[in-house]
Amino acid sequence: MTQYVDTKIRANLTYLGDIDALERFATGLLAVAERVSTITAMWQSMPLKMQMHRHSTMCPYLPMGAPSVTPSGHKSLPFDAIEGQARTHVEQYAQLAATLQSAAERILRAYSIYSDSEQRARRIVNEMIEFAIERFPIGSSFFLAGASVFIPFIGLVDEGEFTPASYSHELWWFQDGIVSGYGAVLSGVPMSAGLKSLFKKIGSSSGKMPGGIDLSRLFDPKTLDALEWKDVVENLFHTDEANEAAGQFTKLGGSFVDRIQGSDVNVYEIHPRKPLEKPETIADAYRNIELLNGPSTSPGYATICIQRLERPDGKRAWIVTLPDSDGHPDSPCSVNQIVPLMSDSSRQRLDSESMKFAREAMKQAGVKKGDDVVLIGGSQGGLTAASMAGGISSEYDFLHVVTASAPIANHPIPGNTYVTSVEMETDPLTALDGAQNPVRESWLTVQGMNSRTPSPTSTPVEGTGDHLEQPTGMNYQRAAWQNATEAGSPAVEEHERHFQEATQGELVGTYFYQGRIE
Amino acid sequence: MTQIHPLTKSSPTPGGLPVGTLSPGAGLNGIQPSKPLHSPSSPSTPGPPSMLTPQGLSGGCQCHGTVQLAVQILESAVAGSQDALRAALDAIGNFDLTQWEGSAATLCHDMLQRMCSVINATDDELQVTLRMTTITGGTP
Repeated sequence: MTQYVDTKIRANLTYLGDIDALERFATGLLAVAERVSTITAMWQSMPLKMQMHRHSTMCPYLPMGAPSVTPSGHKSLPFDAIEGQARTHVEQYAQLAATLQSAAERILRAYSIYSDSEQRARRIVNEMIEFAIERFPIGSSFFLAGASVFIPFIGLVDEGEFTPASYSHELWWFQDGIVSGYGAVLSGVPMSAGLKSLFKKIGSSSGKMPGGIDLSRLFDPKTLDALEWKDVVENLFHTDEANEAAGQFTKLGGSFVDRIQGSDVNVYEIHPRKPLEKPETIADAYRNIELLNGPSTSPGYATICIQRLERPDGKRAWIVTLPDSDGHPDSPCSVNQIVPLMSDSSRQRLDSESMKFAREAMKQAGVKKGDDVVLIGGSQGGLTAASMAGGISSEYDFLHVVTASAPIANHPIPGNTYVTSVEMETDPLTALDGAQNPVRESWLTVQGMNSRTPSPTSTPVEGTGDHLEQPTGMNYQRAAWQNATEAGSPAVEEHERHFQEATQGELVGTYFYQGRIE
Repeated sequence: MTQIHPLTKSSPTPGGLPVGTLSPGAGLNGIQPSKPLHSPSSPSTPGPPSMLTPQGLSGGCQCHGTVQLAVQILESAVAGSQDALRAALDAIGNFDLTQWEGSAATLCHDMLQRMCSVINATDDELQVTLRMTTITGGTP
């Protein structure tokens, strides 16, 4: 057995034409398909009905025990032939209904028609959850803690197994609201009473901390409390509460982390035996993310791959593939770097070690101001890519950003940069931004949902088995992209075309750089 | 890219029976059927009055009434089925997918174009079914 992925494609396709008219056409086909299905059912029951009218028990012409015989004098119809016709009609109408339904569903999916209305409903529900958490944070916390006890049992009923993966699988529709709600509370009123007490105790022994840090002075001594009504109402129109919280945590803890971990990033070139091939398609780009970060294929943690292209007109272009998070303390891409990369402050994002590492690597590779650059990254690599595209767009011409499993909904990427994002709905990492990605012509989001049950449109995921799991691996992201490609969406095709245009040119160099914090 | 071709019938229905037809050229352009479908309320085949008596004459076949009901059911089913085919043609024909970008539009256009052939074939089979509503037998 294997896992399967189905996708929804979120894109703004209003530039193509009258999407409402296309929607009416598709819903019209669905209505007719339903009507045709009714006809199918009618012909399926026709032989039985005919049997009931085949003869009268009073007929003197019918021999006993052989009512199907039609002797001279007995009035009849060619019932056997009629039964054959009924079977033919069943096949024909069933085929017609299936095709009409398939065409309608394909149109709705490829042109992102239903996904917009569902996203609106999802936003409303999640803003209500955020509202409840912001106004009643303690009560909401107790409620969520209590409800979470039942989630694995619900997962047992739904999926047939007792697994922690059920949390994200059952709560994915609400996770934006939960993340935004707590993000707003933590960024509006920074610390809980318990944490305040803890840090005061640590701070009171500041003389024993490295660098003589007085921790109690770093934290605002307010308690975790409900937000004011005006703040709650204001937050309903924002989507970046989680980013604000990340900014607060970075401000409060950033210098502490720098003192513990260090902040000087040493970047040096390495020469792995097997370089990455030039990605000709977006699927190739996702494949390269997997190769750069995979346990058996990676040249080492915190390694960036920079590929240089030469175009026929002599202009240089670059493809930068960025690394994922790792757990090494001397790595500029360690897991804690996700926090500053998620910050709502551009300055904090640019000051993160992972950004410093990426910029230094590009400088050493020879990327010059104004050069065309394509950024590719998964997870933290996607965050770094989005932060660069949004933060240093004046330095380089970022043509296209390709991300997977990256919470970049609130990153200010300019509208002239194409963004192709793949997310799995039940991936907790992509929920960290507490919002859905923007929908615009140059930003395409493929939202995947994993299941153990195949559907007519689903794609199998390589390397998976029977058990429900968190869909964080690149195998899920690649399957989601393949599934979206098979839908025939013009948005997917346009992004593919643009990626190929942005990466056109001869590959003249592939460079690898590693970063270590000293 | 070609438009979906309208339904065509190459020859009149053999047998000269007053069968209903979807239309020689119905479908895309909203052309109405040139001949109405056979009404399910009319008997499909006229006959001597004695044969139409529900109970039959004394000693005659008792089955005419039940067989006549079967005929009515079939005629109604055929009429409803033809209405569904018309609705399908109308739904398919009132939108031009060829003007839309994306391989999904091309694929759906091709699928629906093939369906017009299926609709033609289904209509032909419905005529065959309708011809089977002629009651046979009776007192020689």
